[in-house]
Amino acid sequence: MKKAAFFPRAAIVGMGCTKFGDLWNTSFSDLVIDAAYQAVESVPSLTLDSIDAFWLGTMYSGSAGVSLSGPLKLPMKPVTRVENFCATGTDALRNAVFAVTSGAYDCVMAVGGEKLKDASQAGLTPPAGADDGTSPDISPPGMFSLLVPAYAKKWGVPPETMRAAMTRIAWKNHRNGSLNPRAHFQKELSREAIGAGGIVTGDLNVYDCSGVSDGSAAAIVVRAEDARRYTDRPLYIHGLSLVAGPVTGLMDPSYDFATFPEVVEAARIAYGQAGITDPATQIQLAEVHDCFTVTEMILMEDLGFSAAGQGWKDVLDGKFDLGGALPVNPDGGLKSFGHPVGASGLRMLFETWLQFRGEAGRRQRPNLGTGSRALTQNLGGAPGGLVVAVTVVGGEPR
Amino acid sequence: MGVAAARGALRGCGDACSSHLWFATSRPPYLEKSAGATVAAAASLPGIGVTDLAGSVAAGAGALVAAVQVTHGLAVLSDVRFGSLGSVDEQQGGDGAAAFLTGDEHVIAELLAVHELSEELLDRWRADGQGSVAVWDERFAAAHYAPVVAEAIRAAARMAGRAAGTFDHVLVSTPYARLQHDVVRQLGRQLATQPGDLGFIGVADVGVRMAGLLDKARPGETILVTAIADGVTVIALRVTSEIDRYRARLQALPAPMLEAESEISFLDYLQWRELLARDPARRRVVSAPSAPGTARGRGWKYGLVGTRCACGALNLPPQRVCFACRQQGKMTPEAVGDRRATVVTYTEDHLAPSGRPEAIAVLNFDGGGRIEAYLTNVEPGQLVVGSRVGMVYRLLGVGSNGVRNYFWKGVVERTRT
Repeated sequence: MKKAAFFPRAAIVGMGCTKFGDLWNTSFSDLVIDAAYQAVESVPSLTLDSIDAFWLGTMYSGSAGVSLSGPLKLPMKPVTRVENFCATGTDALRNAVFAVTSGAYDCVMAVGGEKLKDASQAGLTPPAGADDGTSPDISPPGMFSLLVPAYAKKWGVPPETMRAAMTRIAWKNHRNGSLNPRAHFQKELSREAIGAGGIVTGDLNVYDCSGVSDGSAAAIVVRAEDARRYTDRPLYIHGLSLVAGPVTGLMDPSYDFATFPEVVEAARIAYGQAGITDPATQIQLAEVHDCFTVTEMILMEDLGFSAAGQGWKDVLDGKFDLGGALPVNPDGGLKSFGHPVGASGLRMLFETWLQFRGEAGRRQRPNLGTGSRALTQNLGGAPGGLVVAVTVVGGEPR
Repeated sequence: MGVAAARGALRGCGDACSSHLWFATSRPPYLEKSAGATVAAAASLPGIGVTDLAGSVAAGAGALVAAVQVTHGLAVLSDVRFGSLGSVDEQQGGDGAAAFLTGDEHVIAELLAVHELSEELLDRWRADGQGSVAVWDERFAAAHYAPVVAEAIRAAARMAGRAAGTFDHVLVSTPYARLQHDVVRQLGRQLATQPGDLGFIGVADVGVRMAGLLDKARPGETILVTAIADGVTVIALRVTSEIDRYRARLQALPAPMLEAESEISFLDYLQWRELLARDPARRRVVSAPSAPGTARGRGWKYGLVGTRCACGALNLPPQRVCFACRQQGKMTPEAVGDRRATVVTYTEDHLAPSGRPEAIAVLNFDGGGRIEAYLTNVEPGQLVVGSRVGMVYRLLGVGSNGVRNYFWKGVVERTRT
């Protein structure tokens, strides 16, 4: 049985991304129209009509293909709605890749979008399925705050050091977001202000949590060999893995809440596809799923950027700062760019798209040349039961 | 509380357990639907006969008499007391439960006499839907009952073949402190000040006091139980030598869990009892348990019964496919409600649908198995990785469909000194 050592050769030739934020005057339809048109207009030779098929990723904000075909008035096109928790946007992209590399279509679009701010509740509202009422109805920050005492205990990290590392991540991502005109929060915050944030759950305060935002992003996908017909600077997909875990972490006494086994496996697969053997040196830039600061810290270890138990130390040493050895979330991340669930995977990809094209403005990393690789990573669900996607991209074909 | 009392009464009773459950409370979770059936399920007594005695405070003594004289089995008395703010009921009422197993063999206390009479008196009442109890002047009830109780006690003592003043232990259960004092004095006794007295516990009051006496009584001693509510019930008992063997059996079992003490603020109490509305604070709605979903998983929901796979892994809740060997293995039911667990990690969720911070922990059970569960009565700073926890059956919340969602929560174990 094939374990996805190969990922079909595809490239992104156009992208769009709206501003994220509390977009009170923008509907879900407005969001996906804006992202789709931006993507089409980024490719001079294309019109919307020349896109063969569409994948719409959204978790809460729409149902079925008509949530995209209706706003865009698409003329009888195939449109599929995709939902896979916070990996929704990346999974929409993945299905779009399969569609062109199978030969079924030549040019397709993946659109991710979410309209969260029409609800009045604080935080995200997971869809409540009717059940026997025995599982705790725990909020997303609650689920991820379980990581803090467990990680601290496992590696013997004192509470004040944990706090300092989490504060450093929030500080970095807010600082990066302040350089990004599309970010939800564009304000740099002092470490003192972050440390003094009001508690949301357990050890997580409000600045440890990602923004709840409206937004949308879109990508146009073609076969790798066709890419240069559309643009002189395509973004090539070198690896893309998707893993749905067995959801046993809440019943298996051996799971320690200090790592994400699904991320380790998804990274292993994507690195294998992309020929990455030493991620800490072969990846030049990463957009990771910093739904909470502690999540980003643990991801550094699970993605192989830090040794096990050393993530907090590398964070505090500035390794993942914008000017560090391996910039993580240069666009501000979920933390300050915001987290419109279905859009986030494609938003991450959008930053790598800008960076490889040299269009990232004040966030632009130098020396992203031939052989450079960037990584995007999503996770959805809760520690112990995650859906994870890892993508590796580069500026030249594999 | 009824579930905890029932499970406690069944400890050390082996298979000699009950065929009928008498459940008494003044405030059942529902009308129409039996609460006793829920207690039976959560006490792992599915399929036994159940009778609910619900509404009147007199149901407590009624359940005891029924379990002794009608059908032997388990009498479970459980109650929570409400009172309007500042009332005697609010200040001196308590919550509690007690359970007694009755039978013909190996009894720890034998029945000498039962005398009961009802009394129509409008002294305390509450209409359906009302929170607190309306009370006429306490002195009216005390004056009315004093001679009635005295006569009932004399009658019961005659049946027991002894003088009213000769019982080793005397118990008087009544919502009226004045009446309790008078009756005890007439019997020539001092009113014993019970340490940790919970106040008047409604339906459960007679049971909790009786259990307290049985805890310290010696073989051969006699007990006179007098319960006053809408009449008088007098029960005369003699403790048998079996009580020493019973205590020895309990000693041999793993020690029951003692819950760590915690302070509950008056504001929290008022909100829990829905006596004070709180701003919903833009929280999502409390999930609504489905009846078919509950019925499909009732072994888990009521009895905390998981499944042990042939490979050795304990699956909580029960799984078709084992988490460890990933096979559709042969699964054997296994209950974990009486087991201790260790906290793996924990949090306090300030975004809980209840609008109040909720403690949640991941628990590894002794003997295998893990769950994520709410904890109750946890004070800030009390929890650490490694805290020891036991399970109690509690109300998790009221669903958006009005369903009162009972399930198991963890409580931190008190350190034994």
